[in-house]
Amino acid sequence: MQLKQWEKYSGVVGDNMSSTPGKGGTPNGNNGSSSRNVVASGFDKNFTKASGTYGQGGKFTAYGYAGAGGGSGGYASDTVSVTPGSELTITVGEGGTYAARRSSYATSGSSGFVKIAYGEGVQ
Amino acid sequence: MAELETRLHAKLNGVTEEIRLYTTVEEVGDSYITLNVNGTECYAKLGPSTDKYASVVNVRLPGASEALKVLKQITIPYTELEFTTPGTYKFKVPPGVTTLKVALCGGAGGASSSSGYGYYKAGDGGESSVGDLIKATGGTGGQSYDEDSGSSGGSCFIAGTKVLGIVNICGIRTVSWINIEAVQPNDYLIGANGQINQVLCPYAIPLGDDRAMLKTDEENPLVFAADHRMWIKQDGKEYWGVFDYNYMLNNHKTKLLNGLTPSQDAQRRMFEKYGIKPHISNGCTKELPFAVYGNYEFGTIDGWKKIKVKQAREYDGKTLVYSFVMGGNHTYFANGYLCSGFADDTDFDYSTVKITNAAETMGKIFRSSR
Repeated sequence: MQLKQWEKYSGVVGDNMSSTPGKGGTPNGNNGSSSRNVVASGFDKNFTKASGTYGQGGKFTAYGYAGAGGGSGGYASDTVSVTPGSELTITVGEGGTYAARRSSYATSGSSGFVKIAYGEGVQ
Repeated sequence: MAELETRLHAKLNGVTEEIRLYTTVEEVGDSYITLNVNGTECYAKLGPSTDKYASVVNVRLPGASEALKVLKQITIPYTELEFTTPGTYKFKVPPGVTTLKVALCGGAGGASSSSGYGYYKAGDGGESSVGDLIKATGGTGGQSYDEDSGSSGGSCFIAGTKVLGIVNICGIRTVSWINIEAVQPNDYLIGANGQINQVLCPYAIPLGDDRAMLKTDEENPLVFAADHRMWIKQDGKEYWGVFDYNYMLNNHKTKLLNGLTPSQDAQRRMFEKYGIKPHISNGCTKELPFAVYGNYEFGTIDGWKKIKVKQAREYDGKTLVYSFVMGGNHTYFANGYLCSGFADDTDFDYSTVKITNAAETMGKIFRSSR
């Protein structure tokens, strides 16, 4: 009874904690998690969609605190028409930086990838 | 290097074939024919009749015994390129290539952990793209808020720690050792020099993953967080001592955006949350606490006590630890050890603390009641 009354005045863990996991990128991204040590799976460096470590969301690891994992990057695969001799700008997205007092409490997101194939067999 | 938009057309038996023309000989290799299209010299590749791109057009080169076929296009070997380092790159589409197969993934969002109270928002992942042709956006970063995280420090003793306080038994006020978790706001505890100090606000938070617990090497040890200020004698000086000095510095010297230290801001939030009149400790502004090392003694209700301190590894981050924001001279005794209840040297002169006197005035009286 005394402890219960005491807690009325104390900041016991669980009070005013909230977390909003990151959202997966578009298309096909996986949302992050509010659970500790849970990772939003990324994608394999492949023309066929498969789970892997590229674009893998950051995870939080510290016990007893609110935390939120990052969403994975989106994944897309397609064939595109191009003009021979034209120049294309390729951008590889960087993973977002963790936000925590120490790096051991949360990890940054993994960077993405771009894979291109052309020539024989590519229609 | 380029491919002409204009193509050579060959028609046989009503079937028309297109033959691609290239502007450099490097593109067509050793065997080719030269043409001139509207003043532009260009080349068509030659090959054997078995080539899958062989057209209906035959060419017999001077001195050659057999005719070759004009090929409808050059053969581009299957090629894969991978870009995995974040950044921007330029890619020139090779001659003859009109189709790209592309797979791509955006960068992921980072994670957040409110391992120092407050709002944390991790960075978003970056977008990956190939020109304007295809893209995949990055994931967003996690965000979290924890008002009562242990990293603000200030709570330092495990449940069951005895503090010396004033209790009311059947209308009679007396002193007694009380479990720390049973103390209420506005209760009174005995502090330095035997002074009776009011409990302004009790305080309990998890130890967290970034603080260590220590314990005195004795039968009934005092178990305390390494960042808590204990009254110490070291190198002939008497003042507050802290074992985890870096942690203490961060919580008592760093300034937040609102001008308060993390420790002060934690107090402010606690007072505001529970509607208690605030007293925000200024901390030790005139002299920093000692970094405890080597030859030191603890100030206790029995006088100075030389005792080893060991790591208490049995307490993990979810251990709930307790302390108080104290009025008066902002001190109290925990298991007989004089400790800080958010010591504030702007309204109390700690050079006046007399451990001997405290022992004389308080120890003899209360020792037997422990």
